[in-house]
Amino acid sequence: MKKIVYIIPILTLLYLVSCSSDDSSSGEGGTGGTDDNFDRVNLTTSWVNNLLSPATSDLKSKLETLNNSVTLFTDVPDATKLATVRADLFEAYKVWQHVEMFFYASGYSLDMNTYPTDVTKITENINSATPVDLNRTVLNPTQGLPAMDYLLNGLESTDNDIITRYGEAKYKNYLKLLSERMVTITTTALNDFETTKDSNINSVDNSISSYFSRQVNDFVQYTEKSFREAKIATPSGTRNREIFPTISVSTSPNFVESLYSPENSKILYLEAYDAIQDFYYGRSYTNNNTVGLQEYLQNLGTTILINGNETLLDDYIISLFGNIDAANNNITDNFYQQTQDYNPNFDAVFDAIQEFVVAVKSNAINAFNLTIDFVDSDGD
Amino acid sequence: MEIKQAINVYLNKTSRAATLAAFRILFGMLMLMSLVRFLSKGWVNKFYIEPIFHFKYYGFSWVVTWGEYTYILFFVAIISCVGIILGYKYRLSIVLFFLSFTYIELIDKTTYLNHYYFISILSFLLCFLPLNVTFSLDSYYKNKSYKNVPKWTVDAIKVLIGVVYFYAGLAKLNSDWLFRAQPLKIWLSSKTDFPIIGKFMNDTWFHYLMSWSGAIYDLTIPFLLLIRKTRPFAFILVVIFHVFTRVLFPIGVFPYVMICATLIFFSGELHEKFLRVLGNILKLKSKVNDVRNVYLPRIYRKVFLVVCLFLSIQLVLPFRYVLYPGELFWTEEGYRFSWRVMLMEKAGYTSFRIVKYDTGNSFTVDNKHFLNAFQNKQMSTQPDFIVEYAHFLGDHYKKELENENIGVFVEGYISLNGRLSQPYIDPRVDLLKVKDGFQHKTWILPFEDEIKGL
Repeated sequence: MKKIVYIIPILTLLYLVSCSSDDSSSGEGGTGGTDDNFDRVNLTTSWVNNLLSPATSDLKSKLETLNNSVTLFTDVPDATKLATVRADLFEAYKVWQHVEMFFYASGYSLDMNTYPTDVTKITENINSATPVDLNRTVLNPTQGLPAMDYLLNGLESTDNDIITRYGEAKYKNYLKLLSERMVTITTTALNDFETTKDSNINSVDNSISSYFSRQVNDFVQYTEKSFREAKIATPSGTRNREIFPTISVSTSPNFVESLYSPENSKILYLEAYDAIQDFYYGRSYTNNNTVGLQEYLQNLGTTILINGNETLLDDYIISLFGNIDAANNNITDNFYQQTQDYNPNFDAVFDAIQEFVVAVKSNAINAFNLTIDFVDSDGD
Repeated sequence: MEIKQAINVYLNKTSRAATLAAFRILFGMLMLMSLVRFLSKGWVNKFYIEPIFHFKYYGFSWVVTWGEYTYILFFVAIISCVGIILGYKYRLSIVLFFLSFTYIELIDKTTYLNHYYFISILSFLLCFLPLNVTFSLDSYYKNKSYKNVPKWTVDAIKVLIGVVYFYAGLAKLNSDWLFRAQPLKIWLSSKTDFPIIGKFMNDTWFHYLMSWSGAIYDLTIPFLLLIRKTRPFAFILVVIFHVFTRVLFPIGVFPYVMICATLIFFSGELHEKFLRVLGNILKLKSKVNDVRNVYLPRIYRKVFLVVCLFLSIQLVLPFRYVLYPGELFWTEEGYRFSWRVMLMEKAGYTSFRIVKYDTGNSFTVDNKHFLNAFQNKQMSTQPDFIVEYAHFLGDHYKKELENENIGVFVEGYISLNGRLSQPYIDPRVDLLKVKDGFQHKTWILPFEDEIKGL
């Protein structure tokens, strides 16, 4: 018996060494492996085929339509054509809300939707004697959808004056330049994605570099930064009030999205909100029910403790969407008008979104067991 | 008077020196393995060279990284491991090992693990014990070896190991562990791919089974190892338990360390046999002529007192948390160095805002600029990290913005053991205006729940 005592640890050591080389992938090395039995490839496939591809293709076609209208308008500027260009821009702007989270913080996204747009620099570009290189990152705020919004809605105070402006070649050219560029960079973004599509779909392990992990993180980042901060918190000044409850901190209505057609700002916001729900519920771009984060959470059966009750995380998140819906009802179409002064309704929207962000960023990501590039731990 | 007599009787009891020698060899081998593994994973670079900022243990900010020269520290530790294994200049080797290993650990508390702390304090204890009086180059060169050592030198190690297990067991006696099976539920639920038992990983009964058996194991194993009759059974439990945790969780070399360390509970004869077998395998021929009976340290009483003092501190230190108000798992005041292992899962995030007081303008810091992912994760859930980082950011941005009049505010949400996420740090407190220390941190928001137990 006593000899066994020394044999066992030696055998164990051998066994452990063989085991640890197997499982180092999921635990320590951070290179691969998922531990649960949910088919993540199914999920990434759904993201790509049901959301990213159709939305981006739709954006491309909307931008092509816009580009045609821009050509017609700049050829012979008149009020009808201006109305068409504006309508086409708005259509593209709405579709963009479904695309951004899949290209979060990429150069493409920054080119497409950096706002507020920089009117001074736009004017410089228009008047520039030499061709401007819009690939320069400092010129992000002089192009894309917000710059188009300015050029079509904010260039002058009346429509007639705007149309008059487009009698001048340099205005025509800049408008055409921006519109063509959006088609080009969207085509490039789409093609670039196509080339990596298959490897991305199959890259689903827990490491930070997997496509699965990156897209979940981008979804969270998008919801936080592009949705909550940019669309709600920044223009309404919610942020600073949190820190200085006693000091009245001014709002920043100039930071509203589509500042020069602010009557559209809530519609754009709701489109983005729709895209966020699509991603969670697994609703396809054409509104069919497919696989989303929701199915994953249901499969894991993740619960959280709320007021002493173990509640399904999915149920909780659904209730948070309900809270956002309710808060959204209290803000009206024109964000620019509503953020002139302190507006508690915006704070309420912010708070509702914040709860959702926290639930996803903290509880859901934890449930998916997305490890950071990791090391030994003993759980403390 | 009787007590004094009892102590004297105890002090005169002896154990086989082979037990300590075998322990020395296993300890040295494991440490060597652990260090080589650390090097081979490129962690020296990743944790000690690359980061631009290191989180310091309170009072140890003077322990700084040596940059590229950190490898020297590892080299010293490795050389001293060789010395420990061979028993060559043992005292010097173990002291060097203790110093280099502990220095490395003190560079950045991000990498704190209970088992690193265990190795640090164990190597400190070993500095005082005669692990080299037999089966060592030291005894070979001195041509003098001993058959026995005072019993307390062996018992001191047993006490330390017992404390690790027993205290880990005590810490599991809380309502989350026992009655919610948390955080095991979170960790196991995602392991349904595991061979054979994977299908149970999502079952509630399995979570409870694991939680309760883990707690019972930790509380009883020191005693099962002490009693001669249950010892072989206990050791098999030790092996199974640690194999299991090793395969389930990324806990590195800790299981190996514990499995080997518990061998010290076995009899001296067994260790003598082990050394004899080892000697035969290595074809060592004993040339030591002067084999004496009992080794006695020169400053016997003083060493004994130091060891007693050390062990008393180990017994008391884990209870320091009672000096703090609030929930220990939430505030983590008095959490480290207490054998609280695998007890909680904190998920969440913490972000920092720099506010310029003169204009009221503010911006959010991208933690990735200053911290690696591991540091960011550790910082997000531990208040002492948060305040330290806030001060670092304060210094950084005062310089960069050329503005002394700034504040650093925190927004953080933490979910503890599968609870609803809660705001963690008071978002209205400028952390530049608070100092880290041993006082209670009043800027941690209260935990809106209760975890009963130790």
